[in-house]
Amino acid sequence: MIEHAKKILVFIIIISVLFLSGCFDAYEPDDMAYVVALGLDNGSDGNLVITLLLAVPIAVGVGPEPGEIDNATNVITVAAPTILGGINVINSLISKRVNFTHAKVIVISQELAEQGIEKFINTFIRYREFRPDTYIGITKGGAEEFLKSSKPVLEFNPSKHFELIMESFKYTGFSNGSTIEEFYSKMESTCEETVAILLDVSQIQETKDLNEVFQKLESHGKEVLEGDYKAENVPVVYENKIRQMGSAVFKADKMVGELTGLETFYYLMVSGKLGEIFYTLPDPGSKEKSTAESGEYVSLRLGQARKPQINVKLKEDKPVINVKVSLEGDIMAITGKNDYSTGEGLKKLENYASEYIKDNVVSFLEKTRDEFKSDICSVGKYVKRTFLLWEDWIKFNWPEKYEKADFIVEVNVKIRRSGIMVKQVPIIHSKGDK
Amino acid sequence: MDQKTTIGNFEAACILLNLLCTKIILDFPRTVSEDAGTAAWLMILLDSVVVYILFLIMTRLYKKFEGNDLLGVSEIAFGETGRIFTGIVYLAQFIFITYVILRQFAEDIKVISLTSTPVSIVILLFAIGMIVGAYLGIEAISRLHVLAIPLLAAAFLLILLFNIPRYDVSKLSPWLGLGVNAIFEKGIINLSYFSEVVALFFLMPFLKKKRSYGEVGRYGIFFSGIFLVLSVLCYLMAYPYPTSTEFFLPVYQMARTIKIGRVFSRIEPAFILIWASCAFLYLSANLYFITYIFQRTFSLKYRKPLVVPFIILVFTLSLLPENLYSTLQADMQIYRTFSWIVTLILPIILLSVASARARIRKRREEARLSHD
Repeated sequence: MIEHAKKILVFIIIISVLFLSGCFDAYEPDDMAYVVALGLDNGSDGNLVITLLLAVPIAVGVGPEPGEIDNATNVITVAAPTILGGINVINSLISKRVNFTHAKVIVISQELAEQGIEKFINTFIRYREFRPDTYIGITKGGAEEFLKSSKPVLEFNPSKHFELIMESFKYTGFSNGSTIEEFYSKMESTCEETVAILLDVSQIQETKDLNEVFQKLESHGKEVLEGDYKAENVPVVYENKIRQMGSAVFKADKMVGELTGLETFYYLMVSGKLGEIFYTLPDPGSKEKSTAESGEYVSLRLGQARKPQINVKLKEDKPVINVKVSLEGDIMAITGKNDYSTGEGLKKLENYASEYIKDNVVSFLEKTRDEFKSDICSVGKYVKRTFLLWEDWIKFNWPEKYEKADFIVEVNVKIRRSGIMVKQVPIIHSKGDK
Repeated sequence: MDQKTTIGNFEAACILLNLLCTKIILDFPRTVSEDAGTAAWLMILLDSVVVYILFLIMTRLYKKFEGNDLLGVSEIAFGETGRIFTGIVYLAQFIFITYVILRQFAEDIKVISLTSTPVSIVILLFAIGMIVGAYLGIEAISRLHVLAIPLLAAAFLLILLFNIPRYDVSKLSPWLGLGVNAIFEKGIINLSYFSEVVALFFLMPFLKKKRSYGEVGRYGIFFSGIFLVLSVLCYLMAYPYPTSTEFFLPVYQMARTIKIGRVFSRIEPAFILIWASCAFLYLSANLYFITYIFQRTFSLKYRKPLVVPFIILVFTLSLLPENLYSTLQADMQIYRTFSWIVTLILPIILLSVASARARIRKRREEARLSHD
């Protein structure tokens, strides 16, 4: 009898353990308001303006009717001294509880970024609902305006929409896919600086507005290629007005400058994060003075052949940074009259591409040194490797040394394939010049 | 009744491995990186080697006392008073670490999963598991370890493997971190991370092959050394110093970042199960050792009636620290500072004195025999 009683008691305890564990923390997913994106702007009287782009699960789950894609999200804005304080206010207004576990992107206004964003990043790292892989972007206009302008067209799931946009850097090279964890880690690092995704809202309404963009663009006598823009002036006419192109450069937690889409491509190249992207360069054989006039370009699909090799030597306290980049790719299009698919032409294209990219990489690295004074390509970690003691490394003061650095860049481009054509016979050869 | 219980070598090695390695899923990688910076892995490697050597010395000294636990040895060395004193010392050590770890586990679960549940309820849930484990005895605990440890080890290795894309060897530089002095000074205190090795000397009477205790200990220390070094090495390659000193639960943080495609992400809830399993095994084994030491110290006939009083004591003590920080302070400033003396040095002293005593007694007997 006692044995039976013991067994029953143990059984009751075990069963009660199963049920006890969930009581206090039980919540229904239906009771949550899932944040897809969070925006931060500078408010008045020391307040932050916090904007949440909330998913409307019913609209996302069932799938909207044509033309109702806007219903998948809802925007709410609150002013409060702290992020979580603002969330508390929102929680008291809406019927559901705000939850960040599905947040995909955090958008911070440039104004705030320039003042320093350590205090906000701390919230995102400390609060467990924020995922480490949440993307972080800086917008020149307000974060509120950015989120309100987000109108997904091809994807009705707002979460997936943002995720796919932010991941596109892997095949465009125009952005950097910076996440809060990566941002935080580099922000605190003693041997590198951090970047964020550059976002903005396009003011371009019609095709005729594009001319205004081209007029404003400072080309410095060089050809303007497709990545020579920042998010604010990408020459695109599209229903969804939010744009992503370039990078926001930071020194410690303060934004110090911007990179264009192409400069971001060079950043990815030197940092070893380059995916496979389309890259356009002027035709090496073009006889015209200006490529813009001739319209002769070569489009390559480029990717890393191997990780970039970086080594740093100190010459009289001045770092000499050797960067060796190996790229490989395919010819995707040739708009000029010359063929570079085989033989000498191929060699010529490889050499030209190597030199062309090298010059641009040097300009980019010099910009990080002179304009930003910020080692965003993590060159410092190669110097740090030569130190034995932490104290010595801190005394060495790498950020100060980087400002005096010299760059020696070597780029090696190898063209492996020429698409599904082995050569191109220009029409001039078969039908004559006229 | 317990004395008839026997456990195999592998079972004993699994208990030892879990006792030594459970700290990995708590704050171990963070605290050692606070101590030695980027060279924390080197410090733990050196500690592992030192503990291995100390264990070899203990094994050599223990040869004469095979089958005796540490209390038996202390009785040989200092008589009954010695046994009671040693028993009280180890009892205090086990009670201290059990309540600190119990509170830590409960706080961890509260931070990462059961955020609204009162900490006392979480501790109570663990306490129920501990009661069941300690009540069923070392045989049940050891068999459960054999089932769970390979799975837990595989899960831990998977976390490390899935983090490979984030590893960067240069994050380990400067290679000597906060300096040689820090490595050695903190390294001595951090020998305490191996303090659970003393449990083997209380498992001694239960071993099926009593002679192979040395092998069990060597394998236990070797593999736990590998796991401890790996955990710190991988953590530091993923999170550079000083960021590495900030995360509350380093391995959980590493699990959080695992993302393989869009589908296979957010896998850390699966690891909560692993943490809970580790905690149950660790705490049950510790509660068992508490009751066993008390029984042996005061030569009591029964052990099982001690389970409930001791769980009430441990439960109450675990609620004493005001907050998580106080719990961590108790662990760092009291336990880690002194436990290496109690668990690695005291056994050597006891064994040396017992050996000397045994030798003197033997000589006296030989002298008496020759005199007779």
